[in-house]
Amino acid sequence: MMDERIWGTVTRALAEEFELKPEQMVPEARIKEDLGLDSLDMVDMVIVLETAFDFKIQDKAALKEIQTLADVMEFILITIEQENGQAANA
Amino acid sequence: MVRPRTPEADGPSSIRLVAANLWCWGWLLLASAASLFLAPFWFLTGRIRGWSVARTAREGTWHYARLYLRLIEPFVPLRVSGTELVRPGSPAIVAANHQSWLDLYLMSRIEDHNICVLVRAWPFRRLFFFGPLMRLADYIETEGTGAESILKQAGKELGAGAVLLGFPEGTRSRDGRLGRFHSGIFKLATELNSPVAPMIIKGSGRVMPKGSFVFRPGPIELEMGPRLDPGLFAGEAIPHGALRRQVRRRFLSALDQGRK
Repeated sequence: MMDERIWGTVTRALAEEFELKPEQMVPEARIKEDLGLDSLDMVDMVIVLETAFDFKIQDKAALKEIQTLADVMEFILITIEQENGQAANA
Repeated sequence: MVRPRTPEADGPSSIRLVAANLWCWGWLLLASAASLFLAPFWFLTGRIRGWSVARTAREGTWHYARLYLRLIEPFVPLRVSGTELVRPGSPAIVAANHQSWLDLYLMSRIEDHNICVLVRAWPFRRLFFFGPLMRLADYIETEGTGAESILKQAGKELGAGAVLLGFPEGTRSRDGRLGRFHSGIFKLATELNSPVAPMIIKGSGRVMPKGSFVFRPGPIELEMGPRLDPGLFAGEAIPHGALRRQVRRRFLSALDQGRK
């Protein structure tokens, strides 16, 4: 499943960068409260995700709305969809 | 069935525990009260010497903390190594693990007296004795202060030759395990191109754990590790993240906790 692959990439990249335990990486995990990421980590998260998926996140403001890992996943899926749309139109 | 008891299982005897608490709390109260009483004279002395208020407060805090650690040595012996690595006049960012409020007193084992601590918001507001002192000492408040302002203050301190001390876990560990490191001080290190010296503390969480008011006699070890140059990580996608991970690995190895 593509989503599972993306989920694996997201959780692996975040766990590695922020030294989180694998058992913490569940969809309902809250970014700040459960994972302990702060505002600086949120800025770094953009770079981590861009590096992991090899794309550029245009809508960085939307990341401020993210609360949980499930939100990150949704954000990535939308971004990939937009990237694919742009590639098809080009 | 009666099992044989071992000294380790018993912990300190009741008499020793009571004596340690009378001794350590007694000296804490006496040393703090005496410092409070002597503070006006100390600040007058600082003024005569031409020191700034912040420097006078930092010098005073250093001597007070050093004195207290010496006073409690009969019950809390301190083993120190590597502190010569942070010499006066060689600014650096010191990153320490955090298990107990005693860790703050350990900063007096850094040879440089000009120490500026990076502190969360609550101690400024809630600590009766230390809150105002921290304001006088110009310690840097890391919560509710903009990143630019923190960077500016930290740069000013390092430029003036101060040592910055921070606890990257952000809070005291409850179980002695090393917590996750926040990136703040590592971001400062990479932005200001300042080396990071790990200050590894062992045993303070056993002597005075978080949430406890009981001293348990025993040794504390303080080991200052070699400095890490942030320039080594300049090629990484997130240089301060790589520096943070490397410093944490050193702590894990020194604390013998492996990864995680």
